[in-house]
Amino acid sequence: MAEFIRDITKKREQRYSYGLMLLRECIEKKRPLINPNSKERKALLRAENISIAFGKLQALNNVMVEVKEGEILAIIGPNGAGKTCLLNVISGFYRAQQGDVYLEEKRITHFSSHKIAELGLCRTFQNIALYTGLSVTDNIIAGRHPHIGYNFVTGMIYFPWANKEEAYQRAIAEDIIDFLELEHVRGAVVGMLAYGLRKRVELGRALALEPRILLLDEPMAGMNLDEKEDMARFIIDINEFLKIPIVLIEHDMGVVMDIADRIVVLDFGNKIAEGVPEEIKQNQKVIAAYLGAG
Amino acid sequence: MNINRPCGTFDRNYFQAKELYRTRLRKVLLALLILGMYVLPLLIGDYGISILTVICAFIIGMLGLQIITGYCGQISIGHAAFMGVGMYTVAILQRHFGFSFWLALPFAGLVPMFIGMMFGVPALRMKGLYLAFATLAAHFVIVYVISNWRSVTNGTDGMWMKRPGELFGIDFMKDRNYYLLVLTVTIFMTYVATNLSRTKLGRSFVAVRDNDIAAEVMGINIAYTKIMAFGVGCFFAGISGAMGGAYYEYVNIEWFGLDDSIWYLGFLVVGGFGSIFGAIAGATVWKIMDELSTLVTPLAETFLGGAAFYASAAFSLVFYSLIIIVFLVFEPRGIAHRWEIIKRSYRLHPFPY
Ligand SMILES: Nc1ncnc2c1ncn2[C@@H]1O[C@H](COP(=O)(O)OP(=O)(O)OP(=O)(O)O)[C@@H](O)[C@H]1O
Ligand SMILES: [Mg+2]
Repeated sequence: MAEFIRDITKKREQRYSYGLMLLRECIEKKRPLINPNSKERKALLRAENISIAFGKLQALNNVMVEVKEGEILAIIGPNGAGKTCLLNVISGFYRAQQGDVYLEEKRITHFSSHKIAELGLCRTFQNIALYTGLSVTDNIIAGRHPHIGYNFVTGMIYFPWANKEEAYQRAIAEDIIDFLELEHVRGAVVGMLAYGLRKRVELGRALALEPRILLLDEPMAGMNLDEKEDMARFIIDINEFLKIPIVLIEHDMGVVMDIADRIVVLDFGNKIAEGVPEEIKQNQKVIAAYLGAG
Repeated sequence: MNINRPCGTFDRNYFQAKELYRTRLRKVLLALLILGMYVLPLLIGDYGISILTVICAFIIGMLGLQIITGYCGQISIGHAAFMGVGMYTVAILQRHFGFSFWLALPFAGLVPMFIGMMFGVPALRMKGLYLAFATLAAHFVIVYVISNWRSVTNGTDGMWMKRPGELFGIDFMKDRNYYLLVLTVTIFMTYVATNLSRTKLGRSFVAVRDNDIAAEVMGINIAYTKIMAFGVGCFFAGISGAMGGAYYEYVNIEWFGLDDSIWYLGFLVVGGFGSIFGAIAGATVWKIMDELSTLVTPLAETFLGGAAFYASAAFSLVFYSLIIIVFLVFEPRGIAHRWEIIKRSYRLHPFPY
């Protein structure tokens, strides 16, 4: 048994050796990777008392969510519970009527979306939002936008250093493509790809931003079992290798229970439970919400 | 699925991976084409040179519109007016401030650029048809100012403009030499536009065009990007206007009608949205159509009697409309797309796909 596990570990390490290495270097240059096993895990992202209403509909009601360093936090709940809404508020897309969002103790409630992205809060969308006219590689390089150094005049005249920078960005993009196993479609226009692949490209583009924290809105919706397993593997790898905390919205309970460290349950805009998967499985309120018992 | 490169080319490093021209054959062909454009005026007469000069000038303007509309997805129906601003900038600087052409040329780009950025501001709030009407306002404001600010612009009478003087012993008063100058500027601007489209700003243009919501969330400042698109596009328009106006050594506000702006858009469709080649093809087809319609003027005379002058104008409109309709129906993605298909089938030759 022990041998088997060692074998797996070794294979894992081999995998890592081709994929994400460059990206990891990039991230390490800016900040040390935090060991998630250390005792004092700080809260990285904090959404406090978020409330938002659309007319009479209270989409979120005093919701409080905290994401700690290095964890995978799942947000679950029935359709229309307000999960996407919460993500939109965090990423600066909706303005909450009440409450604040803090990223590393910095209040980002009033920041515009692109500013929040530059701070390292990155998300994917429930309905895929890619740059449909660009190729897979270009989509991922486009995700590197805030990290590209040269200005537009330099780019237009294509000075040698702009050329070098472009090649470097392409190297990182290829690194991500390797990791996500998209090699065979790297030059294809994204609009023509299959659904599962597009979801993967979107994850890749989000990764390219060197996120401090990654918010994934139903990354496995509408996929078959194989694709789901792949995606779950990618998510775990990102979390372990890059030490990026992940917020995951997902309907598939099997996946959520397997990979999440902590779970937050929303129902009709209220947070009805929070805890490790075992607790959530037992929680009466959650069961009631899912089975629709009054 | 992904056959967009010639057979037998492999990338050995990331510099190669992003090359535009991979095979030696294509590089040689491009060099030959450029060389051919420089040699051509030796072979053709004055008439041919005049057509080539106009085509070159319009290619620059079309590249500008390609950046605004093709790459960034913001419709602009004031593009001809910005060309006019470029022309008038040179003319005014020459007449009132005694600038030489060379000194005035950068301003011919920068002044439209700033005006374009100003009129680009509505793009932050509006999209599609609504934005089109906002840019329409730009057209009317510019035309109104130029035709009524008589002390500076000489109103509707137009202004004289001087061509550049001698440089390195080349006399630009000769049409042939002036063509070479316009050609050089066009090649440089094409180079710049190509690089723009494959670097940071160009990618953010396409990002905003394809999915502005995602772009915003991925760290792209949409306001900056849209305004930059208008700025860069109008810079191109201004340079195009300055080169074209100096060729005729005269500018007149009547040249920048609303219809010109709309033909601009129409022939961008013919050329193909979202590619540099499309802009070049569009401008070329436009001006060749123009010449064709003047060629048939004698024919029109026999059919329509004396009103030949107007007949030629009418003919050009019929031609334009026909070709745009034909392209909209049969190849809405333009000549550029057709060209890609031809290239692809050449690469795959023995196999149909
Ligand atoms: N822009 C909006 N305008 C009006 N109502 C909205 C808006 N966005 C969300 N809502 C409403 O808020 C509620 C929560 O929506 P949300 O998209 O967050 O649900 P969800 O939990 O993501 O559901 P699903 O699992 O189906 O994705 C829904 O009732 C929805 O109709
Ligand atoms: Mg949702």
